[in-house]
Amino acid sequence: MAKAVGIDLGTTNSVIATLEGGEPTVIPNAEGSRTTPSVVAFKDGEVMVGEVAKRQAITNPDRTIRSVKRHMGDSNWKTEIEGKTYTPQEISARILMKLKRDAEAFLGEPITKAVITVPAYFNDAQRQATKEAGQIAGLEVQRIINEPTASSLAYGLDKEHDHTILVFDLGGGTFDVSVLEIGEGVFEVKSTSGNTQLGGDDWDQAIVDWLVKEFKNEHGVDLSTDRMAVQRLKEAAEKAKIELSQVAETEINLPFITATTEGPLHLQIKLTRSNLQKLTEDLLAKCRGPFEQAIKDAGISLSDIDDVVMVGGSTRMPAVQELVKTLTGGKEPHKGVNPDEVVAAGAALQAGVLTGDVKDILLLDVTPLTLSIETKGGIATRMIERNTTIPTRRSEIFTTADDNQPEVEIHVLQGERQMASANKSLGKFRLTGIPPAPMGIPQIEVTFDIDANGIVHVSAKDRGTGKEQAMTITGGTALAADDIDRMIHDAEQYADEDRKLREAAETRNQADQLAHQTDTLLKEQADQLTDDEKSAITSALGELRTALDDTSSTTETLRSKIDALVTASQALAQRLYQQQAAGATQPEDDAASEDEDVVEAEIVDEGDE
Amino acid sequence: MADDTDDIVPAEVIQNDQELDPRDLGIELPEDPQQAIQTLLRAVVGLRLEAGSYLEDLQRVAADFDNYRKRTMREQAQNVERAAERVTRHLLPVLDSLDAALTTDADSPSVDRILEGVRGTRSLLLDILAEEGLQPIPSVGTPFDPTVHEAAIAPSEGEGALVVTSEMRRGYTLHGRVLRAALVAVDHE
Repeated sequence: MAKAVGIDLGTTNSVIATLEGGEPTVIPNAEGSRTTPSVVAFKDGEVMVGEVAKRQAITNPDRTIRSVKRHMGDSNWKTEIEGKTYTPQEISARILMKLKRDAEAFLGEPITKAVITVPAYFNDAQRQATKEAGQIAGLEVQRIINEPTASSLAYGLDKEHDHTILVFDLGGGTFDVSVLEIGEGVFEVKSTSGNTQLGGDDWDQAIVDWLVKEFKNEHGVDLSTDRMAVQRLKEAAEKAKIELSQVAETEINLPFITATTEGPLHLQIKLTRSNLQKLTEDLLAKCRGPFEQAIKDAGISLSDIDDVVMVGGSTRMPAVQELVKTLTGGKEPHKGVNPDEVVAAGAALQAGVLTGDVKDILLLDVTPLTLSIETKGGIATRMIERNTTIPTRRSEIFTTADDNQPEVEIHVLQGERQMASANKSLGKFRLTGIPPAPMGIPQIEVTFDIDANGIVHVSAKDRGTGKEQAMTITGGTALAADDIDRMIHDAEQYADEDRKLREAAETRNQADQLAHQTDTLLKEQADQLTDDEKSAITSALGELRTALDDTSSTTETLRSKIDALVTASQALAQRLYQQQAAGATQPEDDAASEDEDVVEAEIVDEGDE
Repeated sequence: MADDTDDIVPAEVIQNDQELDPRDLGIELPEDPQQAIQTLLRAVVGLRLEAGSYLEDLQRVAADFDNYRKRTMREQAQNVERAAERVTRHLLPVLDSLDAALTTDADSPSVDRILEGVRGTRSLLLDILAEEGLQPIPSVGTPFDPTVHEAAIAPSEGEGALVVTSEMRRGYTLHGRVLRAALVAVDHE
């Protein structure tokens, strides 16, 4: 079946997205960009679309068309190029054709159906023209949907009932505010307002103007007449603007920006976030009017707004976010979807619904918190990580911690903390009847299985005997959102402390294991040891044991005792190895293990040849 | 039998008022009506179980895909970091060289030698970047090609093919893909 796509056919840029495994994915164009400039150019019978059309625009101004979206539905607007007359929909179709062609190449399959978005204020003629553009491009336009509706869909707001949604869309060159109401799965646009000549580019320009002015004040040179300098200023301005969304201060550094008879000149200047906000105060103020108008036209009060959705890259600016927060009376906007791509993502979801790609039975949940089991030393060993999509299943092999351990306890935990005791206990059970064996030998396969309803089945199986025990946890994943947030927050807050506790437990486990191994070694290799060695190892072992028995021993103490014991046993280990390597001449009373014998034989054979 | 799926008529071709013959559906029914109903009910239970297991399989495959996608995205982010690490390490000699240049005594009359050093540093940088796949885009004297050239200045009135007359900022390709178009002036040939 052919893939359905969603297309955000924008004034300055366009984006195409599809669904992959039910998730919207933006498809990059042939040049590798996720957005394509909405620019079309004709030259000697050839059509150029996107970045290429933009680059040649100045050489071919009469036959290069930008922002054709502004003319959609205008039956008087026509452009004559090389003897042919083009309508706005025919120009738009060229953009759609490129998006379609590049997406087909990327996906490796034909695209025939699409959902295309339009501004909420588009009238019937404009919508009809957009639909025609799609048809000319060879697309079956399944539906024309409003841009704010698409953004709301991308955040899953269609599942809400009787919600009022405010969509704040500040793009590169246009600004729109819409108020939507969702009831019974249907969106209704209550009002829309905006400014067709306001966008992120204005913020960049404000920075460029300021840089030119500052540079002129300092050096008396006007950079605005230098094409190359202006290009560098523009790029630096945009970079600074983006950086100031993350940090409070940035440095604009353009060495060798120009040269005079005196020599080269460099531009180096600091721009703070508050400075930028001062420079662009008037731009921000321009957002206020349309916002208030939209609220007024919708006939609602601020407290009626349930959701705020931000669209357009410029909404990443902290000043814009603060403004929206202030204007909406402190509402947090939805986050998580790239604001440049949210419209196309929503359109792709709509396309998926219309073609039946989105099936309710496949709207799968995720585990809100990590599921673990408690292992030696009280460590929470993770089985299924938080945010794993369910149904899912995972098996892991565990073993015993003591010699001849007859049973193991499976203690199932939920939460993000590293130590078992800090997590929520979901239940425990015992697997009994493990035949006597040295520690570390039995293989206990523990399996976690979460079904589509969030029910957790935990089983433990002794691979030696095939004996199995299991438990089912039904209410496991059903936690209040507040509880989940608190548990995640706690894990972050106590991350350091938890890490230390875990290290302490792991060191203790390591010490315990080493002591046990050394015991075995002493027993098995008793006649290989000199009395000095024996007493050195025994005393180091004794010290380690004492440290282990003392529950107040620090991790550092245990580590130093481990190191001491390893050092004491090193001479023995080395000699054992050398003896084995030296040859079979020395009779081996007590083979360390069969595996080592095999290794030994191999080495000897090689030496003999 | 039920396994003979080839013989089963797909649901969509069954008309509402169409009378069905069990044999067409691959079902053998006993003569006795009560037994026939039992047989059919058993078949229904069997099909429900089968549908349930298919649904579960489908959900598991969908969840597996989703988890795979999440893991791939995490790995991709890590790979990007690792790639940056490698390139950054290769670039360190350039930084060393610039640091050394800055230790030059400000009073020493060695502008020539500093320039020479800058040239050397530049060529070092270019070599490193070339190893990563960077290539300068030829411009001056070549026909104007908007796939690699960005025209910054409008040509004079006239006819004829456009050629690049000067380069304001060099353009580069990385592994054949345009990293940055050359910023150029063009005019008619």
